[in-house]
Amino acid sequence: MRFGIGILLVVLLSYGGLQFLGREMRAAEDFALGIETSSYFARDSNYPIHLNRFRQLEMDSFLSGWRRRGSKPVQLFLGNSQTHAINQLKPGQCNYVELIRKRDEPDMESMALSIPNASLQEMLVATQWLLVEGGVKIERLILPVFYDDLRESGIRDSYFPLLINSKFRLGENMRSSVAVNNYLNALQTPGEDQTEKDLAGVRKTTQEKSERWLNEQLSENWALWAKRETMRGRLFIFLYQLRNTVFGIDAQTVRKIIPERKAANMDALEDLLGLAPQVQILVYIPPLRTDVQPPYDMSAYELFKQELKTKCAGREGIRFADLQDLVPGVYWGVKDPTGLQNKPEYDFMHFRFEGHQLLDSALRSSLNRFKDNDL
Amino acid sequence: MIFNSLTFLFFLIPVVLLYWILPYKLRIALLFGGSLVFYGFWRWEFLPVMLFSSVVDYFIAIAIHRHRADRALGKKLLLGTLVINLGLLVYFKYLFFLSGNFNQIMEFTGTAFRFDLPAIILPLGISFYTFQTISYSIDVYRGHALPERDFLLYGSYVTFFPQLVAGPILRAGEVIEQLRTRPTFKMEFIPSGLKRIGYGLFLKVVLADNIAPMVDEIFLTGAHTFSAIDVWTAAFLFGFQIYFDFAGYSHIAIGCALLMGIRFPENFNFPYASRSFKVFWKRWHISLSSWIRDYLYLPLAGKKVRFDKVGSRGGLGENVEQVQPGNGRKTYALFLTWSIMGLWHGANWTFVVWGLYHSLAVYLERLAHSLRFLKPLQTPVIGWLITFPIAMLGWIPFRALNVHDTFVLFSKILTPAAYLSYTFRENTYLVAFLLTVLTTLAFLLDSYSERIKSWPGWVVLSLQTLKYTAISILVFVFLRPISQFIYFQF
Repeated sequence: MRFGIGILLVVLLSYGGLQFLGREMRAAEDFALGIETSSYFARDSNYPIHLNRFRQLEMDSFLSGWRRRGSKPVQLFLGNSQTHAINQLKPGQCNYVELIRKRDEPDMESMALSIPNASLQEMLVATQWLLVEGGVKIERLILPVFYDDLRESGIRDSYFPLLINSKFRLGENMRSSVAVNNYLNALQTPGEDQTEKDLAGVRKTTQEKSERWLNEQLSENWALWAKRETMRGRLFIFLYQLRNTVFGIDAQTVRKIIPERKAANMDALEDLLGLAPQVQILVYIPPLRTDVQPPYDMSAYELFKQELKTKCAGREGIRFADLQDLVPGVYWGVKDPTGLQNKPEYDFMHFRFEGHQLLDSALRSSLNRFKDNDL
Repeated sequence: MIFNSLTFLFFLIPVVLLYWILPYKLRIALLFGGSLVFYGFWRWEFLPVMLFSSVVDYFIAIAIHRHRADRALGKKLLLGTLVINLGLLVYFKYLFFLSGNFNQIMEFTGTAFRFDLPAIILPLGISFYTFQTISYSIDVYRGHALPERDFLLYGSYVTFFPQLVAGPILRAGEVIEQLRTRPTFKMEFIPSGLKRIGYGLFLKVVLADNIAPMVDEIFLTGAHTFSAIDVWTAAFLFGFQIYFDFAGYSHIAIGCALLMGIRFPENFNFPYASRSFKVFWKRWHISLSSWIRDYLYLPLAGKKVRFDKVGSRGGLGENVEQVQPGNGRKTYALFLTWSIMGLWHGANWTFVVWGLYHSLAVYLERLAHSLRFLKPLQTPVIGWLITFPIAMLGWIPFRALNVHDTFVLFSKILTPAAYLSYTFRENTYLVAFLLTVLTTLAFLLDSYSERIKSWPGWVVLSLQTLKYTAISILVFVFLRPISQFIYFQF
């Protein structure tokens, strides 16, 4: 009797809990971008010229579009979500890559690859892959170095599904080759699709077929089962917000740089700079919102900028630009709360269209320095 | 078939229903057949290996018993089964490792000869079922058990699906008798079994599988970049991952067997709450520990195995107590036993280092216990404060990529300057800390569980309902066969 009541209560409460967890929600990537911000990816005759992940289908399209347009030399814009996100996007607006592309010189075209929170290790892998495997003639590289992203390391399978189980590795002469190739070796997840990832434990077994079939049947016939990924996302977001609330973390909380990770990223940067002078490289400090206190230890940030400037100084084919103060506070926006309280917070990464216009202009002027041979 | 999957749930429900509906003889056939199907869902082609090992011991045990008056023949027969079973284990598990070592020696001596092998697939659960069949034959040889002539009954013991691929390692006496006595259905089997399965799945799919990506990322980073705090954090995180993973498996195994009225001995009992290494080994993978004691350690130490002690759950820790420092043969047996136990876990020198680490810890513990001036410090709390971190640190060789990395990581622990920095994200340290706190709280709560049961019925029911609702929701959300259980690879 007691067992019966207990089971009934557990079933009812679980059902209610799952319904609650399974409510519609924004995709995790949109959540990370924030309440006011949208992504913009440029296309040319239906071929993408701007990607935010290494996925087979899009990459094939990206490369075939480039070939159809005559395989012209490319100026490649690397970046993180700042490149593809526009705060308060309005119809007809676009990002700085598209603005620059509209004024492309006839013998060169602009393409972009912007991966959210990309470490320099990921930027290195992306560039090397496009050069070596993609056969893209990269003549110019526009490389923002984000202070935040020096905290990142590794190659994420979610953004590099194309490299899962691939044989692509960095050349051994590169500083980052051991570390990065270790990460590449570990990209063993069987596919980019969530279902494929979920079945990793039964790969190449008889059970794989039954598991796939049962999963499909349940997903098609039971809405709650199909929403499990959403539920997982909601739980993780809740944990993230709970942590931030408990520890008082918000968008302005100073993020410490982790020395070993920074060193690994600087190695990757050195490998990227090693592409010069065959590839012209513009290294720039990206715009930062400075009308309010940014989430950096500003003295450490200044030292980092100086370090970067010194690294680039006097090297053939490399230019450096500090665009930190380029975008005034009025062109920045807000993002979702990082904690459980329902209060939007300052966005220090994504700006409005006007910011993209300013960046377009500043980058074009910096790129002209290559023509003028101005160091 | 892996437990953390839909296939298993859809397999288990009809098997349990049929088990209680069918008449006795068919019930045993169902268990045997169902276990083969369970195994075949991994790879059908490896079923003959398991069946071969089972059949060999079935006949050899009968032969040993028939010729029990002739000890010399019995010994030869026993040797025969050891050669066959250990031969299977060596071929599938260690040959590649041995050839690699051989090639390294050849390279070192400048000899051109190499012994290269193609990759050999390790049959799932081979380390577990060969140990079961070996112990069965040894028990019959020692006169501690009678051979089972009903092949279905014997086969059901060896292949019984809840414990087939990752234990607990059961003795014939623990299972065959229960199967033979035809358990009658009791309603309590169902809630008890379901609770254990739910709890086990929670440990595996909610905790272990979500810690795993963090641990994987950590150990991908070069060992030289770790700070001392990182090494401790990595050790604690992997320590929790492997505990949740393996204890989760054991809970599910026990729960599944319970649904069919079969009781398995416990395999884990809050090992991280142990106040000494002796106790740790009475609480961690208890069935392996007691197996090693009965079939390896005691014979090596020159001690007679007492019938009434066989299969007792004291584990290795119980007998370690008898090893006085300076007692040569027993000390040698201690270190050798643990090295072999390490190798049982995997064909890599890192596992031998892990085994030696534990034997050294046990040996030093014994040494400390014999020193009178340390007596005042031997309180349970101080014991726990020492045992817990040292046991966690012991997981470093278990998870490190190689022996070199192991020693690099250990050396960081001993370098004071290495305590001044950190290289992981703050979340990593936070998770390790929270897991430590929550696991300790879970142990304390478990210690008070009897008291809680005496609370008013509605309070207990409410607490149980909340607990199992949370478990059900989380298991529902996270149930994915994204990874096998860690012990499958052993």
